Amino acid sequence: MKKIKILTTALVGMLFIYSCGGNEQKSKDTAQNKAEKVEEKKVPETIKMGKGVGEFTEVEVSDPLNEEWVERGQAIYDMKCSACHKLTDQRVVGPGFQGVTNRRKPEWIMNMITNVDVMLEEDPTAQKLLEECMTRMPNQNIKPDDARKILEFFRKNDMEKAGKKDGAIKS
Amino acid sequence: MKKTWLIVSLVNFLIASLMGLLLRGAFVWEIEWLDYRNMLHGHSHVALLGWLYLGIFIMLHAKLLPKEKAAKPIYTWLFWLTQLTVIGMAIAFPIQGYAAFSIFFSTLHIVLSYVFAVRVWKDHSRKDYRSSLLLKTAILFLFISTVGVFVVAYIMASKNGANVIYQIAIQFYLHFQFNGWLLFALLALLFNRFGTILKISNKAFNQFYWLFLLGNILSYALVLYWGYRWEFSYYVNAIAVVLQLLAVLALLKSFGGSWIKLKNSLSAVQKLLLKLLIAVFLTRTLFQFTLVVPEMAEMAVLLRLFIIGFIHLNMLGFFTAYLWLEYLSNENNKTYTLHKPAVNLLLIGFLSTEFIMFLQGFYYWQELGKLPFFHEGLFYASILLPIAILLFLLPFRYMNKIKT
Repeated sequence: MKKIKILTTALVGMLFIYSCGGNEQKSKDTAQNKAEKVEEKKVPETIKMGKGVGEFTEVEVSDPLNEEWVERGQAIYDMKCSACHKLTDQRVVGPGFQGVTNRRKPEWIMNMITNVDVMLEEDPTAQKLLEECMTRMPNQNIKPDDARKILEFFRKNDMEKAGKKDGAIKS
Repeated sequence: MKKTWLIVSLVNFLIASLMGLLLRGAFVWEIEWLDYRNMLHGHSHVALLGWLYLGIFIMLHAKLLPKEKAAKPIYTWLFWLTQLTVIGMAIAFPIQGYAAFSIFFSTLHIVLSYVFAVRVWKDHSRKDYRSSLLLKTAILFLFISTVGVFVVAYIMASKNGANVIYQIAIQFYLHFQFNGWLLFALLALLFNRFGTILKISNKAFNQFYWLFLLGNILSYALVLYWGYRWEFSYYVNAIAVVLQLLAVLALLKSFGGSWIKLKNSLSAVQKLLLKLLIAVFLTRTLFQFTLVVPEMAEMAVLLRLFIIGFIHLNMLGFFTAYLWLEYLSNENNKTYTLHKPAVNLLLIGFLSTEFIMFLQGFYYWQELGKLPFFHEGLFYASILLPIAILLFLLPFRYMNKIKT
């Protein structure tokens, strides 16, 4: 009997902890909103421009695609990305890559690839993705040059899958 | 051992394997209704907490407790309450991911495991000093590992999961569950089972114990290397894997001529499982040892296929092999007709999926691209696993009484 009592107490305790957690979440959320308002002035210009944060502030893309880069980009995608990101619009561990160049600017994509820790810390779009996916993308140690090649591969993928690429550049 | 308990744990294994199959299917087809991450949570929780945890629960209860202590009703309560949480997780995780119900059931599972651990600590037989020491070590690891869960809970309650420490805390839990609690509990059981047959000197045992303990604690540094890229954590892990290799060598040295005696105590199917278990234990130690090479350490934390491959190497080739070996040992070496093909299918499914994952991992690493039909091959090879589990499960219905 004593043990059953302990168990019940533990159970009730847990429900309590859970409900507390929920409340705390809400109060924290409002606190976070406030903090966001205060910090609004400090948001880097590049984030406002949808370019994220990192070493890439201006990336030139050109046509036709550089097939050599596409090939190298695919090799890196295979090795470091494919286990979590499909090339369709289906999300597995992370979001699918179809249409990524139409949704995000080249600078944002390359900053996300090379500077993921800071992006998740500061960029609201990246944070929103993390909230949806619940899994933090590990830093994949990708060199700046290689990030450009992955971008080229994404552009090629978007042409094939979505019929259009670079849609995010002008907006 | 209670027959229904065995069946329940195997049904959990079957469910986990079907969930895993679905996850691999998601890379072959577009499965619209499937939320991959939620199903991944379901798969991992049922596999770890429903199959491995309950399997070890059953074995500890059957082998390391004196009969009169094992008969206490608390253990029956604990088993069925734990199973209830597993059912809860098997339903809640695929549907809602991390949310109210799934968190409730997984927290309850932890509380129940605390109660079980405290009970076993008090009740277990001290007759065999080695097995008792290993068991107590395992139980301490069980408590230590859950610190990771509470850190995760704290982080989730206080801010979003955008912190590296969030992943580090999850890995802390997993590391000390696998390489602490489960591994040492399994060693306690192995020493209890084979300790009298194998003549291992006290000196050899002590060498093994301390080297292995230290190695398994320090190898957590690999997680820090993965999360923070601190150079010193690479060196700590390198030391850890060398210690582990030395530990295994110390054990092997005194293994010597005992193999024949060991073999004679087992049926043919059990021998196969024991060989698998030993082969995987050595492979795993050697794999970890290769991480002293910096390029390998880099790849081991970058290539998800290597990570997934290594986890399944341990779960299927090591823990499952042991549990199946023990599950079969209750019938005076009588083998049911279905058990042989079941074990063979598990072996083929295990070896082929591991081969495909590591080969593809190697191809990606060397930038040789994707193997033709990689995802398809992995999916079809994985079909063998639930079939094997089902075949293994069926004969248990016809067994009348299972001896301990």
